[in-house]
Amino acid sequence: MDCKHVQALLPVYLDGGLSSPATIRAVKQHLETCADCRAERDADAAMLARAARTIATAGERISVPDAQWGDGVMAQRVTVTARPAIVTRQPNHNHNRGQTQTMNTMTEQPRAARRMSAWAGAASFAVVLVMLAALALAMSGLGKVNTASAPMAAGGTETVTPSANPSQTPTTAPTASQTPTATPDLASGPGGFVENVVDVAELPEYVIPLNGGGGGGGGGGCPEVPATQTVSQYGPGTGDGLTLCLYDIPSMDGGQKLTVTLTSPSGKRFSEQYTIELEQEGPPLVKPVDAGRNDGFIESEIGRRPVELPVRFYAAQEYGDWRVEAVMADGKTFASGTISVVVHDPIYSVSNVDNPLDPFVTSLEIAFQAGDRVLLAGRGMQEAGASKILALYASDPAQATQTTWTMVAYYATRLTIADDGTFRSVFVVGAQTPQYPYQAVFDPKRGPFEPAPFGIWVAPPQ
Amino acid sequence: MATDPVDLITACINGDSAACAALFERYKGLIYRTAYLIGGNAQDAEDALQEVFLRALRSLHTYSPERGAFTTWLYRITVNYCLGQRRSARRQTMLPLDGEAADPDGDPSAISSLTDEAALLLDALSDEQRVVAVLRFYGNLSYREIADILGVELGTVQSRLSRALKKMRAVADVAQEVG
Repeated sequence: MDCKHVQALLPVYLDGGLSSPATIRAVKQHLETCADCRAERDADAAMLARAARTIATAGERISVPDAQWGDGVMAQRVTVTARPAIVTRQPNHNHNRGQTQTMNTMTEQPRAARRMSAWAGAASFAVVLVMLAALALAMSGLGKVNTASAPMAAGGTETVTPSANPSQTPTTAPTASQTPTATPDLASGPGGFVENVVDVAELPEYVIPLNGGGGGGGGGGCPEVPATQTVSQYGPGTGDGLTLCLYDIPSMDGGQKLTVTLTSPSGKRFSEQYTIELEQEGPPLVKPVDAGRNDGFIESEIGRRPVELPVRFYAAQEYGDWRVEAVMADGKTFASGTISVVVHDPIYSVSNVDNPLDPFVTSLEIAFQAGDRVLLAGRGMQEAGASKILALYASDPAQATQTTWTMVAYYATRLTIADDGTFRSVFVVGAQTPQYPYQAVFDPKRGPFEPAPFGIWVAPPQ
Repeated sequence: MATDPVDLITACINGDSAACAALFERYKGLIYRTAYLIGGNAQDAEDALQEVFLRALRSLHTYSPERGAFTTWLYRITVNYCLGQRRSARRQTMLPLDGEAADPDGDPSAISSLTDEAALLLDALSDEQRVVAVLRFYGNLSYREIADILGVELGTVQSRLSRALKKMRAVADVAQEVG
C-alpha cells in the first residue's frame, strides 16, 4: 500500500470506519515506517476532532422554531379527529375535493403562504392517514411489481362482507352508467378506466386485519459463461428487473466512459452512457452520466470483471431477444450479444401511457396525479382469451377500525387476456379521483382478499 | 399516550392526532437541525421541516421497524428532500455542478447562518460530502447507516467522508493563513 492510498484512507481509518481487518492492518504497518504519512495522520486526526466537534455543536445550537402540531408557524389551528368524517364514499367523490384543493394550492402560493397551507395540509392529512394504511398493501405490490407472489395475499383476510350494502356503501366509484367514456371527462371528473367499465357495486368488500406484511427476495450474481460469450444476465426469473452482465471490460480506470445500447426485437434502441468511478473500498462504480438513474458496478474481484447493470423490462415493453452492445469511449466494443427477455410467471407493471419504458430507467413510477393516463399491463398470463374483471380496491376509512380496514372496489374494468398472455388497460386519473392507494384485484369474489401484486397510488400533486 | 415510537406511529396511522403531534414534537428537532446543517439557513430548514413531516405522514405506514430505526427513516426523507432542494436551487441559478463547492455569492440556498467555523467547513463541501459530514458528525450515524440512508455503497460513504475531511482541512489551513 503506497502513501497516496494510505493518506486517502486515513480519515476513515481514524474515524473507525474501515471494515476490512486486512486494510486496517496494512494502514497501521505503513504508518509505522512512513513519517510523511504519520504527519498526515496527525493533521487528519486534528481536523477530524475539530470537524466533529464543530458540526455537532453547531447542530445542537440551532434553535428549533416553536412549531406545534396543528399550529405554530402556520397560525392555523387544525383539529384532527380520530375518526374523520371526510372519508366516506360519496357519489362523484366530492368528499375528496377539499383535500385535493388544499394540496393543489401548495405549489402555487408564495413561500410564506405555502408554509401555512403545508402545515394545514400536514395536519389535515393525518385525518386520512388511516386510508393510507392500505398503502402498505399497494406498496408491496408496486415495489415488487414484478414478483410472482402477492405478499398481501398471505396477510390474512378475516371476513368477507356481503357485497355492496347500499346502506353503508353508497355507490361512489363510477358505475357503467355514471362513468363518462370520453377521456377529457374522466380527467376532469372522477377518473376511471377508459374501456369496458364494470359496475363496482356488484363487487365484494373485504375486511382485513391491520397488520404488517411484505417480504423480499433477490440474489444471484453474474454467471460464469464461456470465454466467447461477453453478455449474460441474471435476475429473479419471474420479474421484469434484471441485471445485465457485460464481461471483459478492458479498463477500470476512473473517469473512463462507456456506452451500453439495448435494441429490442423490433429495433427500438435505448442507450445509456456511464462513467467509471473508483471508490476506496468496494467495487468500482459504473455511474450513469444522466444522474439519478441507478448505478451499476464492476465486480473486480472475480474473473473476467463483469460490469453489472440493473435494467428493467416493463410488462408493457417488448419481450424476446434483445441485442446488447457495450462500447468504451474509444469506440472499442468489449461486450456484445443477445439476452432473452422472457417471463415465466405473470408480471405486472404500471406506468404512464406515454412512458417510453426505457430499460435503463429502473425506478418504478409509483404516484400518479390527476390527468395522468396510467397503463396497467400484464404479461405471462396463463389464460389466453379469458375475460377477467380488473378492479381497483382501496381502503374505505369510514369503515376502518383500530384493528381492521375494509377494502372496497372503486373502479373496475373487464379485459381480455391476449393470445400472447398479455393485457393492457388504461386508467385515467381524474381531478376527483380519491387520493388513495389502490390495489388491483382480478375477478373479485367472496372469500379471502387476494390482490394481484400491483396497484396505483393516486397522490396529491407534488 | 404511548411513548414508544412504534406505538406512536401505529396510533398516528390509526388517526390518533395526539400521537401524530407527539411524533412531530419528538422529531422536529432532528429534522430541522439536519436540514439547517445541510441547507445552511433557517428559511430552507423551516420549509424542510414542514415538507419532510408531510412526506413522512404520507408514507408512515411504509415504515417497518425491522428495516431500521425510525430516525434513520426520517433522516432518509430529510436528506432526499434537502438534496432535491439544493439541486433545484442550483439549476435555477445555473451554478456549479455536483462535486464542486457551493458558491455562497451566487447560490441563495448556500448563504449560511451557521456559526462561522461550521459554515467555513461545511460550505467547502459538495452537497454529497456535506450530507455525509452532517450525518456522521451531527447525527452520529455509522457508515453503514449513512450508506443505507443514501442508498450508496459503504465505500462511497467512506470516500465522501475522506474527501470531505481533506477539503475541510484545506479550507481551514487557508483560513488560518489569511486570518
